[in-house]
Amino acid sequence: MISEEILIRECKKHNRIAQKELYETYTPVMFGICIRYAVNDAEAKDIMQEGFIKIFSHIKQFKGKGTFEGWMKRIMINTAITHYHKTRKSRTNRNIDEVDATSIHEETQQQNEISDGIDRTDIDEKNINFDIVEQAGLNVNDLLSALNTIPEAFKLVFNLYCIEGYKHKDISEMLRIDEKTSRTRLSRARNLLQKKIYELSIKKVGK
Amino acid sequence: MSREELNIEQLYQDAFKNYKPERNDLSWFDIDSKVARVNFFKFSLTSFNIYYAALVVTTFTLASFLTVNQITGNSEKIPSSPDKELFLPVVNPSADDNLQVFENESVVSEDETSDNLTGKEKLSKEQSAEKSPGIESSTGKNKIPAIRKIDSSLLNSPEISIVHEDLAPDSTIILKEDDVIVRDTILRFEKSSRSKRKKR
Repeated sequence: MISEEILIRECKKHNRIAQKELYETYTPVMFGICIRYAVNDAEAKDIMQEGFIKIFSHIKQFKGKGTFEGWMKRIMINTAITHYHKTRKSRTNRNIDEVDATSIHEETQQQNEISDGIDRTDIDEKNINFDIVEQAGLNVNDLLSALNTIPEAFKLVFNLYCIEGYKHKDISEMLRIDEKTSRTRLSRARNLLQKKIYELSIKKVGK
Repeated sequence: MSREELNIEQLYQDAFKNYKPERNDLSWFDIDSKVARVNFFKFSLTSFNIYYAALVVTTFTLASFLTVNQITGNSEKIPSSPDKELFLPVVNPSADDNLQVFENESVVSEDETSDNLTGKEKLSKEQSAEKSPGIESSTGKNKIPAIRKIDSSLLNSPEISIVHEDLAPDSTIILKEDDVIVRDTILRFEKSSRSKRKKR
């Protein structure tokens, strides 16, 4: 296997073989990032391809400060954010600022009742039995499906803050929003995810 | 487990920190053409790119331009069509100042023509010669054959130049601008000059 240093050097020379090698080496990691920001697999694939093209065209800018994987991840995240801004207007999304927690809660309950027939009217935010969550042993796919149920803007802030480790100040700059908005979105995302995860856990344990 | 213990953030961090989904549908061929396009617009010594393409196009254009220019230049020098008129230079190294080009009409040498003409014809000829300047000797007596346009089919003989010896002594050739010196006239002039010399 070619070392990372040689790969980078050859990619800077636009060597196709090296580019292919780099792509194949980092595809799983990068796809893991993209899937968290995308709505579905196809969109994740698009973001990843776009990200790799950016990587190949800007690879000369990588001066060796920090890890190469970290640099690539940042490009992927930025690509995902750009993609979000591009597609936001075209999507028939509700204005998330107007969405309040109550309406989301009601909506989620209604959807779940329709989908699995379990009555969740007794689920109270303050009286959640979290042992069920532990028992359920949710896997990555469950967590992803829960993440995909919350509004995209909430998901974006949650991903950037909780998983990538960015600060609210950075997030506000990246998403072109206020810091306060970023905090609010994170809080809402947490609440929604807790409920969703609890519901998923009940469903799993019940089975 | 309390509500506080259910740390959503931790749950997601643990799950996604080293998440590497193995997917078979993510092959290089999906972005191969896109990367090729990107590479094409970036300069590289080892691969063909837009800069090389521009170089090739520029070279080809320049070469075409030069070739066309050369062909056009050659065709101006050597007439490709028999209909074109030939311009012959008159060379008289010792009497350059005496050379001028006539504008039109035939002015026939005195020796050749005046002997054969009637008195009336001579008179009219002299009058017309006065009106339109012909090739005259410095004394005004000798006239040199006319310089006029001829059919290009006559221009088959090798190029001829008038040398000083061919000219009559102390003759002046008055040539006007934009006139055409044609071969048959020169041939005739040559012939007459030779016959003159023989006579002498």
